[in-house]
Amino acid sequence: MRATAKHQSGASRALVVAVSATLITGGLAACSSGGSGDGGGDVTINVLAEDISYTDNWKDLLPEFEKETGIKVNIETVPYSDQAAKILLNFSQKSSDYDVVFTDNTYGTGYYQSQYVEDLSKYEDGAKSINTFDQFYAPYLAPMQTDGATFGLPVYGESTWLMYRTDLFEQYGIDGPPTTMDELEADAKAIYEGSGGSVAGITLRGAPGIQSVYPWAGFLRAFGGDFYTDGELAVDAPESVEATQFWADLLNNYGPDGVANFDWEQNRIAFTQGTAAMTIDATANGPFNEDTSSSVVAGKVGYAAIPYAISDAPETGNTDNSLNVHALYLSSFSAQKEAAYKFMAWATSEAVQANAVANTESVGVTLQKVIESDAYAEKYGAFQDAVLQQLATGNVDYLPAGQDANAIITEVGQALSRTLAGEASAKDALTAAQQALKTQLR
Amino acid sequence: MSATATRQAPVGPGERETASYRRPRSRQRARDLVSRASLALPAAIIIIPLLLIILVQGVQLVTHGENLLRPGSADRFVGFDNFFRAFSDPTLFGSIRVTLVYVFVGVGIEMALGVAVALALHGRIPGKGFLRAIILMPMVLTPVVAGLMWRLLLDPTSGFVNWFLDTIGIGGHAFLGDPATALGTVILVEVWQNTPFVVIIVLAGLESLDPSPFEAAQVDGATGFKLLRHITLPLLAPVLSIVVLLRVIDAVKTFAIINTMTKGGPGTSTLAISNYVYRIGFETFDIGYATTVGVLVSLAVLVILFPAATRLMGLRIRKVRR
Repeated sequence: MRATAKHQSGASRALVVAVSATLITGGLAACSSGGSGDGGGDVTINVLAEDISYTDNWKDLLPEFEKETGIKVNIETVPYSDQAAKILLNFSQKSSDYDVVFTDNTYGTGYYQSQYVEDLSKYEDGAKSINTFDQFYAPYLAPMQTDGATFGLPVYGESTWLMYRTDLFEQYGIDGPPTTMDELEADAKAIYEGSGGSVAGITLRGAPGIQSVYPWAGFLRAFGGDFYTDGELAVDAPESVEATQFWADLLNNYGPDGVANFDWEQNRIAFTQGTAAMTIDATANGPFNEDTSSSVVAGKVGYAAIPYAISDAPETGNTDNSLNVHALYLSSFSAQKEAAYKFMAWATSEAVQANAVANTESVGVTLQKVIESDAYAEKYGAFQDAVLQQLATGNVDYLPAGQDANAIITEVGQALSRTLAGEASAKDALTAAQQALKTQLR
Repeated sequence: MSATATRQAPVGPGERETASYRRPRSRQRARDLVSRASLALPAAIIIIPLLLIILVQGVQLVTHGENLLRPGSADRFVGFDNFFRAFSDPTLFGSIRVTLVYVFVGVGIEMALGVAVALALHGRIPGKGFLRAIILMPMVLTPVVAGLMWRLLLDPTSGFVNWFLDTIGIGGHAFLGDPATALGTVILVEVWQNTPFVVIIVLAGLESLDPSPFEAAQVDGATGFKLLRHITLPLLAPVLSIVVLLRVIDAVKTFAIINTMTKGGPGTSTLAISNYVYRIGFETFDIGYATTVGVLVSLAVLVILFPAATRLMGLRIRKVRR
């Protein structure tokens, strides 16, 4: 009996020693396995990208790029809503895991201010034969330019506009698209009540955060407001309160069921399935509206500028339509900056963008030549003029950018959601948001 | 366990003397100590440094105003400011209220339903294995998949639920878009997904109960509800306690179902604590404050649940000894 116990004890100890040794050696092995992963000497770069058609287009064409340059490219995609957190965690740890990130200028400007991404000017000459800054449509490059630096290459851009059902407007005797916010409300009411509530007067994104803030910022500007007053953050300014209450009342009175949780996709589906007579959203929605295979409103949609509540569009440039650009940024922590820039130049080059126009939904391509091409006009003719008009007047400062952008968008988004849900009045919700932001951003 | 077995092993007087001769008592005690320490060593090598790192890093984070978007902010010492901010944060209190409702209502319904289904499945019924497999299905899904699936089903424009309600003449409703129904709907999905856990554990508990108290009670004329009230439930009490404890711990941490279904909206009507911490930490990147809220909530949960857990575990140990 004792011998057995002793034997077991010895066996246990041997097992413990073996397990410990395995763990320790395993740990050491893991510590020493941080290789470059560059595939046997070739340069390898890693790209974190949005999961959209532009990225799919790169993936299709990548073999050619890799063959020509000898640069291997790994593209990792994540949903847009999770992307900012992933990128920022990576940058804040000074990680070189991603050489290039693909995200929108709202975040990109903050990354540049925090010195997480590089000024690209010094790399431009190295890939001159592939692409140069002056080939981009200027308004698309502008949001990534400051003090002589260019810190991002635009992949796609967009503005916002009013989309309305011409057939319903005609049916209910409404003459043309609304040109003021009062008319917008009256038209929404006429169609909602005229249809007995079966067609919503208007649908907008109502989900908290960037989803609702993006189109709502158009209402803010339409009422003459801004996120800042005299350089100071003032999300509870009277114009902001007025715009928010109008926005919430409009959706509560004439919006579709469940609008409080609508994100871009749900809002787009509600409109393309004929649930609503109007929506205000990105110019990127155009192709989805006109896609006869998935939209019941194809050919029945009119495109117009977003109306103002104030008498005229402000001459200061505080227009109520966005100019939002999603661009490629070069990580300051990349160990392969030249190769990474070469990929960025290629991914935004004429051949790649022309292929996107030919084979995917890509109304937001950013090279002047591609936008003016016959292929572009043929594919997006139904709304090309309206898109270009909105881009020309697009507000580069439409959303707050820089280091404070996330906090402002999140808090204002929560205030919008609370107002829409009836938890608080617009004034109370925005005052709470302003207080919270003061605490956070001190 | 093996050390206890060695100590309690019956040995004759002669054997004991021989053992003492061979191995002095103090030396043996030292060897026992080394033996026990060697068993704990692999876990200790991993757990202790991790705990220390987390503790040191945690203290650093809660006393500093770190924001990932502001390089250098990690060095901004704020003392207890993050704690004062938490105690005056109305959104945090709102999220605590939402979490409490979610836990009490959700776990309460799960327990009632779970016990009822387990009792119905107890005994010899045809197709029991098949039924058990079917019941398990929601539990197998990850909360993200369950949340997304229900979000699609409940979609007011194209979801099945509203189509069905419309078809039978009740009329649809934007369950997730209405603050009056959003939390209730999310709780129902929690119940749908986690009731099977209660069923399986309670069913296992029922099947392991000693039949003699039931036979004695039946001889005394107890049947139906009386048998359930006075015999089944008291005997199941330790199992039920553990199930409640596990479900409460899990429900307090809820995140994925709410994040995929409503992201805490409309307004803050479904914003649970974990979702709020995620929002602060990963949307505004206010890491210092997010950690403070996380620490406060974890401490609160520990203070509330630890005594309950200790008592329940004590109860189980006493039962085993009896």
